[in-house]
Amino acid sequence: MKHISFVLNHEKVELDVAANERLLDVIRGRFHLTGTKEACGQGECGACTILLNGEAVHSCLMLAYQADGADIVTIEGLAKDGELDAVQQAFLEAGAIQCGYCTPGMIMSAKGLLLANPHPTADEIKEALSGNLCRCTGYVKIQQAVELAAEKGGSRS
Amino acid sequence: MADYGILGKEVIRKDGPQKAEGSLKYMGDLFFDGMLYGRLVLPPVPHAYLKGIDCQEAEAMPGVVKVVTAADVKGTNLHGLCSVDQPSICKDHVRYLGDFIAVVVAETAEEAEKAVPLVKADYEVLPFYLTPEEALAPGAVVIHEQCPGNIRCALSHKKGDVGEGFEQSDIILENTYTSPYIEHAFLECEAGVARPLEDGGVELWTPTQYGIRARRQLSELLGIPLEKVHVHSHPLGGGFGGKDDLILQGAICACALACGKPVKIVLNREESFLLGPKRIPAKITMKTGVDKSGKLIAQKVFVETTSGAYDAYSTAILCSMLENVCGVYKVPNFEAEGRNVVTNNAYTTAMRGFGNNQVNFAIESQMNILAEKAGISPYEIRKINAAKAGERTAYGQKISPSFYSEKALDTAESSDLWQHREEWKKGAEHPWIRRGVGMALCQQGIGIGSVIPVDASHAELVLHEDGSLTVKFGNEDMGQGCITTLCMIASESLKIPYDRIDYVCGDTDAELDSGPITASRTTYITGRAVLIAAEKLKKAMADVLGIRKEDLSFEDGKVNGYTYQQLAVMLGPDDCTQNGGASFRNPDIEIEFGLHYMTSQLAQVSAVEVDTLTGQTKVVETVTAPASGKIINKLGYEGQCEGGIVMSQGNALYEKYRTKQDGFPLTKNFQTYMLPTISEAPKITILPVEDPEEDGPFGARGIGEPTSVPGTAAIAAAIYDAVGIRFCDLPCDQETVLMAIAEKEAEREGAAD
Amino acid sequence: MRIDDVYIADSLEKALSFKHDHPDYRWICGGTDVVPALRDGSPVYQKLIDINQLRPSLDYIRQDGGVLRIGALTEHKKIALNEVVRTVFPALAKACGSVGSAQIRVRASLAGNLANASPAADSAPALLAAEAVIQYQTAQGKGSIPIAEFFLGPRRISLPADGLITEIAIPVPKDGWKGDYYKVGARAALTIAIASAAVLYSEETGYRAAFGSVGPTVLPGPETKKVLDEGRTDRKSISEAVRKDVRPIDDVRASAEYRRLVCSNLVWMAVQQ
Repeated sequence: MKHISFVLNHEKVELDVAANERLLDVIRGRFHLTGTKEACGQGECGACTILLNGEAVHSCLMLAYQADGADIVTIEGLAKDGELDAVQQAFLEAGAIQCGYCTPGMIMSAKGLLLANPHPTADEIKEALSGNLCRCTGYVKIQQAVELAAEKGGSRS
Repeated sequence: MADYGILGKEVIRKDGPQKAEGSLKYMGDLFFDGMLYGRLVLPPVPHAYLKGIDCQEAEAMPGVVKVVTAADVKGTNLHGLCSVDQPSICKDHVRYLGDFIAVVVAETAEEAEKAVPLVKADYEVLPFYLTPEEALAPGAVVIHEQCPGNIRCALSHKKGDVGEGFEQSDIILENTYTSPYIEHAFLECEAGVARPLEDGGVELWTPTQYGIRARRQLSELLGIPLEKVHVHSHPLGGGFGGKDDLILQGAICACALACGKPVKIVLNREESFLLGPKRIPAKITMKTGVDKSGKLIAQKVFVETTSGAYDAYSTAILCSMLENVCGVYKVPNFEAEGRNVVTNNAYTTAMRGFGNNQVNFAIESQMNILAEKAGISPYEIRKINAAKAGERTAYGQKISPSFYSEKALDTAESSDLWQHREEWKKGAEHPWIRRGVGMALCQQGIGIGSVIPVDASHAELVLHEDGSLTVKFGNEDMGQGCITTLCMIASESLKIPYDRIDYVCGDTDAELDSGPITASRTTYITGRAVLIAAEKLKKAMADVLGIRKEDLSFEDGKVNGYTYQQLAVMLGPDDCTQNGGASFRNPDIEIEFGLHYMTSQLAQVSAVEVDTLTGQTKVVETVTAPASGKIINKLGYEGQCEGGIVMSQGNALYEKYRTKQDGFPLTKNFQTYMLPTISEAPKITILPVEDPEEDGPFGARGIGEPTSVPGTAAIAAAIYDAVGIRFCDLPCDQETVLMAIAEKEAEREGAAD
Repeated sequence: MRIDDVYIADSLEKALSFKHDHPDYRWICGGTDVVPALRDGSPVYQKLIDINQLRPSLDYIRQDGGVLRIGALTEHKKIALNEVVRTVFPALAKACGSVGSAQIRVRASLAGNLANASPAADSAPALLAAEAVIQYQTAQGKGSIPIAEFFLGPRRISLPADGLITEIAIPVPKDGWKGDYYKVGARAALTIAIASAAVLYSEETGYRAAFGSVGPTVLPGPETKKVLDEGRTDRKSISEAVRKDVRPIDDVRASAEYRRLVCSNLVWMAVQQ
């Protein structure tokens, strides 16, 4: 058992975790933040993507104790004071959401990109989102959503 | 000229904000007090008799509450769509690797998982068959009693005289086309939670494409009266046909009832690949004869499909394949035969297109090859042969007036991509990159077709005292956007603002049977039901205002000067609730395996670059011209086009579910089964043909499936255009293409020597 | 997944001494290979020494005269975006930028990828062609091993049992390594290499070549180097040479012949550009 503390969606949290708990398990199972999804368990689909110190990573590949001292943001932590983040809003306006299962991971990857690179090229968007699978949309509107978010200044954290 | 308010506009989808926030709960996200977790005990071989199970050791493990077996399923323990042949928990005959024999239920998933290997089972191992050849071999063990010789069904249809037809043909072409098992690969794996009720019933939360039917099936297999079974079937994280049938639901309910507590089962991706039904693999031998002008004279087709271990929808899909073997074309002489074979491989069910994808690849490839042989263009041969509204299909049924295959074809042909293709082809960046452009055309039956007696839907509208409206229907939203479309239809009809409309869906307690979310049917049929309910509401409003319905006038959010709040009070609660029902029209002829009266049509042009150094094909641009009636939900419509196109791209170039010799999947997860990523998405241009559906809601029809159908033929044709090699087996993966290119070069060098 | 124990090291010294005393513990940093292996039931990683806290001292990219030094725990993302690497060794930047997904590249360390010793490791061909040297430490002291001797087979490396890779030292010619890394996977992104080739050039060294996913380890390309140095860059000569250098097998991803064909073609393409 390890006692860890980290910032989760802008609030400090503390808990004991077993060595074999993944960060994904803690997010979903312990904090009941179920926006982050498990769809493959091996870092091949991106549905579990969260921000670790501002960078998008697979939470299914991180052991929970490795989050000690980190700044973790999940999809639930993007909206501020009840207002959706620019990336979330762009996904809605562009029609980039269908079944919604890939959406949280996709939005977090986009957010990670825009935090580091507020004006990405089309190829940079593809590179940042290639680790997020979607079976519904064909990706066209997802690409458009990220471009829209960049236009509207989606880099404000 | 109708004045459309919200139709064709871009709106924020009704279920969008929750999805963007991550607050929408899918079934695997649900937690209940005292909830237990189930993990499956899977068989070690694909075919065996189960002689006995010993759960003692497993049940003694810490945290384990019970090991649930078939003995705990108190009803028939059987379900199935075309045949009721599939157990919820395998009882005595393991027919494929996904036939789990027990569920270990424990306080945590981890504890359940630890106990799984301790469940002892006694098997009499049987020979197993992974392909039709193996299952049909003389002496093969019969997998289902009701399928002697392992033949699930055989169907045929004849029209005219193909023998004579071929004699009259100037050009005859015979090819065999194969399509592999394809995985639905929805992002949300199968899952569910059930809890037992005090009255002996059960409440289930599960993603499934027809909750009302699931309830009926569960009532029978569990042995519980219908009114005591409650199913919440929305939302789904993708379906594509793979969540139309029951898969885990019977087991989850049985576990909850046996343990007296809520039980959750969630599959991981490997289990989803192992258990889940797939798109039917098909081997299609097609012999086509045309005269020298390219006009079709005769068509003879043999279709062999694999039902896999259980029937599911496979029999109906074979029917659909035979219905579509001539595509949109008129053929005077035609013979079609089909055979569906039982094996111990993955079982097969509906997947977007319902068999049309596989036969369309065949017929459209034939047309492209025949065009070349006849010295005409791929456009011309289709123009010559495509049926028109009011004419009769190859089967002889009268085609509906809203049939626009020619217009879809003309639209695709007039696209910049097609018009300037020769110029575009010259612009490859390197000499080893070859560019090509291909074309294909399809029709897709909308609705389930005459294979069932009636295909109907019901919806309900409830006007509230605050002037808002609730639209209620049984249909679930698996991403396709029907909730939004149906709310837009209600909004347009009653002129109630879209954001004052909410919905109830996917809940059997609403007792609204809207049919399944399949067959591209929901916009049309539930849309019509909503409109009919809206008309009834208008009639009630007119009555209460003492005027005729035609004299209702909607302006500035008021009806003849009254607000909806006022009208709600005037109507009273009974008249504020109105029901609507609608059903599909059947074709004017009857044949054994069903046909559709209504179809959507779609033409596609695909432009590819083939890298002759690696065999990799990149789809650079795709043009789609769908004729699926008027657009209601613009973003939803486009999303279906884009999603279907990329899905067919995967089918064309990467995707193939494969097994090892022992039957276990070789392609068992997303690391080994390749789906397109955003880097594979092409530029997509949508050129809608919006001629209205004659009685569709505001002229709309159905778009969900046809967008995924002609891609394989269009891409294969584009590859031929690029490198001069025909591929009749899907996928046209990089190795197959490169080896073929190398062989062709070696032949050329050999000839030059 | 089963993990029996994790020791979190907060210094290199403690990490090395713990490893010396507990040889059955395995290193974990980013975890992008270790966690999937654990999920698959691997018995090997059930005891771990976590070295994430060593990142600050082992995460660097420095040019040191004619040697490019990359700290063992530097993430692939950093290497791919680093201006120095992109200038003097673009093939390595490209290779690191092609590993997994953007999410994986944030976490996965260069040393972790090398130590995992997949025959498909993306950075290996460029590093082998450049004749990089793996620097390591044990509780006893420091050591180094040329990368050509480092890989013994799939998942097998020749490092002392209690050793930790600390740096990858890459000799760089005066004008840098020209050339590129070419990877063919099953799709454009998020893919393991089915066949890959690094083709490098400098005036001082002439051509260098190395191949991935065509043998039990990354393989050097001496025959390929010879034909390229001799200027025999026609398809036939290259094909003959490459076929001598590569030793592919048939597996779930591709056949051996496909891999031979592709490697030849990649080398030919490299010299066209």
